[in-house]
Amino acid sequence: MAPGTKRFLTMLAFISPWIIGFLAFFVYPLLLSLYYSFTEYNLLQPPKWVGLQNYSNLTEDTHYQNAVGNTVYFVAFSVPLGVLTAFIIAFLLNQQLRLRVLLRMIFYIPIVVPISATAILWMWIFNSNWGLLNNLLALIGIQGPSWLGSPSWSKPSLIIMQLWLVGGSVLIFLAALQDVPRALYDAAMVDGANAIRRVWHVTIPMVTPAILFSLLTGMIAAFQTFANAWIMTDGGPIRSTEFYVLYLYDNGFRFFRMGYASAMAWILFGVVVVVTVILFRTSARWVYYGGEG
Amino acid sequence: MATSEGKLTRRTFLKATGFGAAAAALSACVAAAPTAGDDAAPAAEQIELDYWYIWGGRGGEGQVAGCDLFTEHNPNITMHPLTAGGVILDKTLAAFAAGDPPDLVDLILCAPLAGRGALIAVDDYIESSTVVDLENYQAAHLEAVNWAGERWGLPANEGLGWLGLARNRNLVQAAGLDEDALPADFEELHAWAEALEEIDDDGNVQTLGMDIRGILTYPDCWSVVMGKRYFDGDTFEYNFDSEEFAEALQIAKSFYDRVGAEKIAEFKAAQEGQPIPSPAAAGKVGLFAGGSWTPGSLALNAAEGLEFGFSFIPDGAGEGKMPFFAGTHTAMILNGSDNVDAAWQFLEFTSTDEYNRRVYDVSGFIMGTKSFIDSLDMSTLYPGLDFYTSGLSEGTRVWGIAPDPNWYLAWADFLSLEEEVGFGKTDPGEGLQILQEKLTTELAKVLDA
Repeated sequence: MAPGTKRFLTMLAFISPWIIGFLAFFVYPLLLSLYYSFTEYNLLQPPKWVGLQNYSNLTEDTHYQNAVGNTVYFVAFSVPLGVLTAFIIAFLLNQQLRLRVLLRMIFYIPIVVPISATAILWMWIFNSNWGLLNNLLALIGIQGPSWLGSPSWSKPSLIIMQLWLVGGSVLIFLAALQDVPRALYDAAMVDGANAIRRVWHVTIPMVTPAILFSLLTGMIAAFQTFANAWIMTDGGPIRSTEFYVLYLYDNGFRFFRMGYASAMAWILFGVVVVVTVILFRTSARWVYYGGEG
Repeated sequence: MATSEGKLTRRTFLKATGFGAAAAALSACVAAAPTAGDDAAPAAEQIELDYWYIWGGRGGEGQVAGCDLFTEHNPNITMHPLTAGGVILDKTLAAFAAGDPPDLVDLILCAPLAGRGALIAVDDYIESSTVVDLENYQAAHLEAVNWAGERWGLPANEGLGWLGLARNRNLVQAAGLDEDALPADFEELHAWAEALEEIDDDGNVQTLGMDIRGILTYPDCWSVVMGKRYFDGDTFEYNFDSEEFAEALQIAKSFYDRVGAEKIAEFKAAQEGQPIPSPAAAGKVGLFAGGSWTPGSLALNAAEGLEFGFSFIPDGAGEGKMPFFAGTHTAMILNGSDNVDAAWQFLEFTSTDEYNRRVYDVSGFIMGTKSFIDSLDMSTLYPGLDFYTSGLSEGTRVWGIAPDPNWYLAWADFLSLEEEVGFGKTDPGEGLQILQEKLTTELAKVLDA
């Protein structure tokens, strides 16, 4: 056996547990769901081929359109706000503060709290009568709304809650900020740049790879948002928080329409791919990787 | 590259790993060695049954106790009871699709699984059984096990009445309302709600006169109230596009409109997470609709000193009848069980008073079989509970759950539609027409399969 072949087989042997898991638990279900999306499938009886019917039915489904609208709203607001918040927090934590390490840890803690616990905690915070948020607003003379009870406020509430979970992005921004060469700031100062100009012309360009990463991962996660709405509002009131994946889940596991749910999943996959490609394509114009000319 | 004798080489490691894995795989295939008892007469085959249900806590403990009692009587059958929680349907579907369903499951009704070929019909078992007596069940409860002219399980657990008008007697008396002349129609219910309502100067609800949601959001409840079944299990037709359901949504909306849907939502959201678990139990709601669990829940959870009374929801059909929805849970055998006969034995056992007594003693669940209800002294249990048993016989329109294979979809979408209408976002007739068409399309798929 040629040494190269032998090395390759040895490598395969070592990574085979992962390959088997990947094929069995990712590729196979993925391809199966693509097949199901062209079938009438209720999980209890064999799937029945219906061609593109599930996809065409989606165009007439008003609840689907509502779920798409809710999700786009959520993505459009929660992702940029999340990136901005994470950057600001990281920027502040990157200063020479006392208890800096402790503060970093505090901002990261929400990430390791189970989502169900987080959801219940925020249900209390949002309680319109005795919740923390409305009590704080009352201190400055504002009567807070019914955060989760009002169709107008339910989505903003979940977006606010999402900001609590920016700890992961904060860490990434922190790492990126610490990687900005000190010499660039010195040069900017010599050129007479004030603090705001240094942030705008040095810091932000240097952390654009981290911004791109946070935007991408945040966008993918936001398109798939599920648990918060499932636990806190179950899609209500009046379907105002019925997000895409929540509606998909209901169709697949409550309404016996797994074929339809699979079609929804593949459309979501397509949308995420397209948005990702657009972000990547446009990134050449605004993302600066160190060492580029 | 030189390697010393004692060093484990990569090749040796891989060989050893390969041999080890092969040996482990082979050992799993080897038949069990004979034991001393094998020469004796064959013992009864040991059977294991998986049984899934929704309840945790005391409810789950009751199920475990019932299973243990069954095993005491049938030592060759070991039960594996499992609390599947609120996602029991999701789990069951996933397990079925994966080819490993539980033997038995307890759900609200049989039709959704039966209509899709996932259950074993039990008519032949019932016919040959010396234990199961269908006459001992409430006729309305048996509707929950029907689909297409066959029975697919038995009523089991929490089967009494699921629809009553609960009133906070303290508030009613304080408002000077006459408890001997309870609301007989929805106009009178509005008058009562108005008398009980308390709105502050900012328009915020302090006390809600009538909470129109609760159990009434089940389309089955509106069916019995309006005298029109939303689904006809004999003709396989939905009736959501009927005048009765348009009227039902208008009635619901009229109660939203009393103080405004947003205000009601705010009021309810504000009550969440309080030490007392519902605005009704806190004494903040005058009238509300609830099921047989309501008296016990109020007795255990309501603020001190509160008393509640229970009566029929007014007849929306204007026929002066007393509508009563007889809900229940049902236990059923899944197609794919390896031990259908043993599973039937368990199902059969759930019909006995002995089983229901054990479950009741541990969990407080009351099964509505006639003999078991007769064995309980309702007047000594929770105040008002007797309404939910007497209602079964005193009600003049007593219906069970619709044998609808799309019941979960119908419930979710009707609930959502009622809310949308209440908030003024959707026209009732238009919404009902869409719901009717959607369900009819889904039903066609079930019937075609």
